[in-house]
Parts: sequence; structure tokens; C-alpha cells
Amino acid sequence: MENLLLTVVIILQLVLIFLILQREYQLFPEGLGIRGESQLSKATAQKQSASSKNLWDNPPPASEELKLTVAEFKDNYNRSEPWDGDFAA
Amino acid sequence: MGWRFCSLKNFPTLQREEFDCGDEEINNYLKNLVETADEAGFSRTFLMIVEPGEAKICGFYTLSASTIPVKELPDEYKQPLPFPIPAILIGQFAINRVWQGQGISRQLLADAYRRICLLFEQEIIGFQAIRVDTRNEEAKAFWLKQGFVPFRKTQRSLFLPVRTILRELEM
Repeated sequence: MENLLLTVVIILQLVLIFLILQREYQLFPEGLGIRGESQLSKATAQKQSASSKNLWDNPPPASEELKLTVAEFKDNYNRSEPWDGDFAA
Repeated sequence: MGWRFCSLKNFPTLQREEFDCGDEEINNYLKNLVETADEAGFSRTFLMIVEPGEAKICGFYTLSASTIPVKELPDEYKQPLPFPIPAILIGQFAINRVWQGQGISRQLLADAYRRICLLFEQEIIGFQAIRVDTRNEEAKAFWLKQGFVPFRKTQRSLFLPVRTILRELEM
């Protein structure tokens, strides 16, 4: 009987530890999903954040094809026109 | 020959039966599903119509709200926030067979970019990227040429930061 109780207690403890670990992993953002990565120094994290922001704010240069496509409407682009209006080309 | 770009809601009576882009699924979408999709709010459809003369659909595309999952972002585009990247989806994009191979797709895409830029600059909706889900390698090559970046896992999906276009507009 004692052995059975002891086994049950050990199993419950293992389940509890597993649940705590699961919860701890979920606390980290998806981009830093691995626990080890969360221990990056503050400076490194800030550097990563800055470089990510830069790529969205300052993306790589437009491709030649994209430049040609933008040139098709660049001259008559009017920021105040209704977005769903009619346009002629 | 010129073109006019308008939304489906401004030209609901336009004959769509003759449209053939070579892909039966897309043809069927324009002929039978597009009105329901627009009415239900799944997308907004824009048409490229030949002028002058009898109005014919030269091409069309659709725009919808979408997202890019964080796990799909290449490392260099990772953000510190755990949220998906808000995006505008170019869902359908097709040119009528009659006008294929004449560089018309660039004109149609220019209209899509124009509207997307207006959405962004007039602060109608917040987003960071344009997303496309391609159907085959030929389509994927088309978007790659535009500078779109493939998703990390779902290789048939690609995105382009909207600021790439805005910056080009300012140059």
C-alpha cells in the first residue's frame, strides 16, 4: 500500500514539473521560442530588435521589375485619391 | 488602346463569361464566385477594362486582409513582438489570354500597388507587407522577380514589405 502511494506521489510530482516547464516555455514570444535564446544579453536582444525593425522600415532595395512596375503609376500617384476609385491608364 | 481600372462594385453588370486566363479555377472564380466573395467581405475585386469600345475584362485581382505567421518569417525579418505580421493579400491575379505576353500584368499590378499604397498612406488599415499565395512555379517566378520573399516553410507563399514600394515612390 505504501509503495503504491509513493508511486502515485512521484507520478503527480512529475506531471506537476512537466506542467510548470510547459508554462515557462509559453511565456517567451514565438520569435524567441527556445528557452536558451531568452537568456541572450540585453544588448544582443536590443541589437536584434533594432535590426529587425530596420528591415521592415528600411527593406532591401526594390528589384528592377518592381521599379518598372512602380514607374507605371508613380507620375500620377495622388495620396489623397480614394483607394477604391477608378483609375485610367 | 487604353485601360480603365475599377472596382467590381462600380461595374457589376460587366460581362464576365468571356474571360479566360487559361486556368479554369480562376475563370470559375470570376464568373461564379466573385460577387459572393465581395458581398460577404472575403475580398475586394478590381477589374482592368479595355477602352475604348465594348467593355471587356482584360484582367482582374482581389485584395483581402491577411497575416504572415511569425514562424514563416525568414530570420532577417523576425520581429521582437510575438504577433503575426499584418498583410494585404493579393488573392487572385489574372490576365485574359488574349492580352497575355504583352506586359499587361505590369499595368494590372501597378494598379494593385497603387491601391495598397493608398490604403497604407491614408491610414485606412495598418499592415506591413503584401502577401501572395502562388499556384505554380511560373507564378512564383513572377512574384520573385518583383522582389517578393518566400515564406520560410510554406514556399509557395511570398511577401514584400510595403515600405519597399513606398520608398520607390518617394525616389
